[in-house]
Formats: sequence, C-alpha cells, structure tokens
Amino acid sequence: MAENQGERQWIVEPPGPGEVSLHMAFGQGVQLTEEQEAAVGELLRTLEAVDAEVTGHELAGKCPKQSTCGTLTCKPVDCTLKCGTLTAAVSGGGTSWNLMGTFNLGLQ
Amino acid sequence: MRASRYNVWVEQNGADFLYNGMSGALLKLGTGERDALERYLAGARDSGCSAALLEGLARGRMLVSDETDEVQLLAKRYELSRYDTSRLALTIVTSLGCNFDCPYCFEDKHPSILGKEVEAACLQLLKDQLPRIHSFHVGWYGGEPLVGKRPLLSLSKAFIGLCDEAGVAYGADIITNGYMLDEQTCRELQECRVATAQITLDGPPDVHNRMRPLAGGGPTFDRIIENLHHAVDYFGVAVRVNVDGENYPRVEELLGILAAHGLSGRLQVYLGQLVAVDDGGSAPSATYRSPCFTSKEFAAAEMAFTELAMRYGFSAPSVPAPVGAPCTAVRSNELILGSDGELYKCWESVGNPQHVIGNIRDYQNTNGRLRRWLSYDPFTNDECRSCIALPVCMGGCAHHGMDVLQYENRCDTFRHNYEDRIALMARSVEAGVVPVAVAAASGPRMDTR
Repeated sequence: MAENQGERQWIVEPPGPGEVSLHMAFGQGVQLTEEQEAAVGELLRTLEAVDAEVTGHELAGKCPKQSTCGTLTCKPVDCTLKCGTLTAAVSGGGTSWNLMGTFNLGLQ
Repeated sequence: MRASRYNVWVEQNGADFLYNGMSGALLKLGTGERDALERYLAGARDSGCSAALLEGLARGRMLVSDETDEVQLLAKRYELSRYDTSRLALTIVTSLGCNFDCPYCFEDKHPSILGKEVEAACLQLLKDQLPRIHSFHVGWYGGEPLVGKRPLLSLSKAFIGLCDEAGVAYGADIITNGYMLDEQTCRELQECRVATAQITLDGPPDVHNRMRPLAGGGPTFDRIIENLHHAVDYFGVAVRVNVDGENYPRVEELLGILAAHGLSGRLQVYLGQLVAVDDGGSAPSATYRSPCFTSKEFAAAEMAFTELAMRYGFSAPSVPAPVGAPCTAVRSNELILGSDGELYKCWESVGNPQHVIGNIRDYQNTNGRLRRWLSYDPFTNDECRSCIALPVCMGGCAHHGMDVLQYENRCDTFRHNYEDRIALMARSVEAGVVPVAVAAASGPRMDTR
C-alpha cells in the first residue's frame, strides 16, 4: 500500500539526536526577565552536563555503508572507526552510547 | 528491530496514532503506514515502509533494536534520578497545625510552627549542599503552610539570597487550602518565587463545606473562591478535587460555579483520589469510611472528569511524560522537614512519629527507616516490570506499595486508562483542540505528585 507521508505528523514530538526540546508555557505578552533567561540557560547547561539520555542514540541507518554491517552485529565503535560517518552523527556530548544501542534499519 | 513494549496504538477517524511511554511522544501516522510497518516488522522484503518513517519511529523509541532491554533502560533511568545529587528538594511543613478539620486528612496534626532554631538548621543544610547542586526546590506544605507564614517568608528570603549568590536556581510551590490566600499574601508568595499553588475544592458549597470545614466548624467555600480571583494573577493555580463515590456525582456543579466566576482558562482543575490511609496513628483518615474508589474506578472517573473539565475550559488533553524516580520518598537528595525539625520521606507520613527518619539538627545521621524508602524497587516487582505504565509511573506511590491495604492504589491511573487517555488526545487532535507538534519534555520528568 502506498504511503502518504503528508499525513504523518508528530502530536508530541520527541527530541532528535543532539536536541533538547522544552515546552514552556507563558501568559500572553509575557517577556522573560534577564534572570529568567539566565535560569533557562542554566537548565540547558545542566541537561547537557548531567542527563545521560541527552547524549542520546543515533541511527546506524544514516551511515551509507550500514548495509555492510550485519543485522544486530553493527558494533558502534567498530562502525565508527571503519566508516567515520557515524562520528559526526553521534548526538549531544556524544562520547558514549546509551543502553538503547544502535539501530540497523536493514533498508537496501 | 522490533516494536517497543511501551507502544500504545489507537485509531481515530480512520487515522492511526502511536504513543510511546519511553519517550512520551505521540505520532499520527500517514495513510497505510501502520500496515507497511507491520509488514516490515514481519520481515517482508518489500514492505513499503519508508526510511523516514522508521527513523521517526526510532527517534520516538517506538522501534528499538532487538538487543535493547527496555526494562533495564528504565531501571537505569530510575537509579540515575534516585541518586541525582545535582538538585536538592525540600518539602517544608511550616505549620503542622491547620485551620481546617477535614475528615479524610491523613495527618495526625497538632499546633506547631517552625521555629528559628529549625530555620537555622535548615539553612545550614542548604549551605552544606550549595557547592554541589545546580538547583534547589522547595514545596511549602502543612498542616496549612500559611498558618506558618512567618517562617515561610523568612526562609524564602534566606534561600533566595543564598542561591542567587551561589548561582543555584531556586524555585518553589505551595499546597494550601486557600483560605488565607488574600491578595497581600499572593504578592508576598510571588516575591518568594512561588510559581504554582495547589488549592483544594471538593465540590459545590454544601459538599465542600462538609468535607473541608474550618477547625471548630464553619464554611470555607466562598472565601476560597474569592481568593482564587486574585491568586490566578500571581501564579499558576491548580484546583484539586478530592473525590470518592459520594461526592464525585457533584463535581460538574463545581466546574459550573468556577466557570460562572469567569475562571475558565485561568486555572486547571484535576481529580485526587481519596483513600482511607491508616498508619496506626490517630489521623482522621484512619476512620474515614466514605465509599472510596478502587484505583480502577478512579481511573475511569478521572477520564470522564477530564473530558468534562475540557468542556468547561479547565483542562487540556495530554499524554503522560516519562518519569525517573517519581517522588521525594524514593529520591536520595530530597527530604520532608516537619515543623519541629523532624524529617520524613513521604508526605503521607507527616505527623506520624513512627515514620520519622531523623532530625534536621543532625540530618546526616538518619535512622534505619530511611533504608526502607531508598531500597524500594519497582523493578523487583513482576507486576511493575510487565506493566505498560512503568515508564510514566515507575512503581508509583512507594508508601502505598509497601502497605498491604493500599497496595492497589500505588499505581498511576495510566495503568488502567492508557488506551482511553491516548484516544482522547487523538480525538482532540482530530477535532483541532490540540495544536500539532507539542514538544515532548526531554528526559525523565522529575516531579509527578
């Protein structure tokens, strides 16, 4: 069955690799004070520094050579060292991979 | 690659919606995409499933790699937040005494205002923590916290000064019965950086005044309504309606009254579940004999109420966000400070000497009761491990989880109404009530109750 991608839409969108999404609600016409802006900045720095999940995971599918990795055998470090593509794609602080592991989409 | 165990599918007007509890994300799929995905997951070579769809589903944690252990990931998430020492949170009982006498109150109350010596010990605790924390949050609590307004204002001023000087973010909220919330007090609380207030109304005047009378007798409804009018100008206000089988049929009357006062869209209204807690003390709840809802009944009532509150402009549809360790009771860097300096881990323990874990004057020297809370582990519970609601509940209320009589009330209502919750959101989207692409909170939510 043909897909109609035009209809697909996030209702509640997760942050992408390397992204942090914050939903902040303010009253009409409200402007952040310098103090509040500083607090938001501090929050972001804290998230980047301490939340292990902010470093996130990355799709092996973005690697053009991912098909050379076998299903479930694409070790992230090996893959990174071999093709290099994933190095740039690792998200956030990006020095480690979390428990979600990597994904091999298996697409040709 | 396989589907996450925390996916919830619903169909609305022929469209497929997919929610995932690990991420809190909700996706409306395009026509035919669910079928294509199912073919792909069944191993079909030409499934018709696009890379963009798969990438999106992986980003929303709706698809996971075969080797991913989602329960293990949640356990890690729980532990990280349980032992997070970068933030400090205190719930402070400024007065265990209360000007109300509610028949279902779970606190064994007596008049007691937090004194100067306890204030000093509390400030010392904060000073000890400042070098290692990024944020400090206070929940003002009672009894009735505004009976203890003097220490509330005094401590707030000191907290703000210390945190600002150290570059630590400070914030606060308050749980109050609302009776003493005059405009001057609202102004003072705003200056104390109180961002939200939870105020309880249990129904229309005759119901509320029976369930939440003044100590010594007397109505409270009209004064609270009067105070709501100015409170909404100073901070976010959430009205909690505590319900059981007896007062639940009257909740719509309350919504009508609030709407008639022009408060629609200016505050939120939500339900709280009344339970007959009996911790062996002499709290009123030990003898409360009204027909309390079971957790399943309450989950159904909550759904019906949300739709009702939406119609009156007091609620918006939402899907639950993932959490870490869900409350102060199970987080290591959070405490509840009683007005006499005694320390607890759970709000429902306040006033009960059998649940005191130590004293603020020597806060690092806690007794063995602390271990009970910090060793509570929903990941050793087979029901929790196999529950669809685990990412958004994380074992729920530890206090109830360790109580044979309240065990079933430990759970988040999502366990029982998850399909209805997602379906309501989907219906609202189709009806244009919810703006599309609300950003999900990143990472575990820290405060749920």
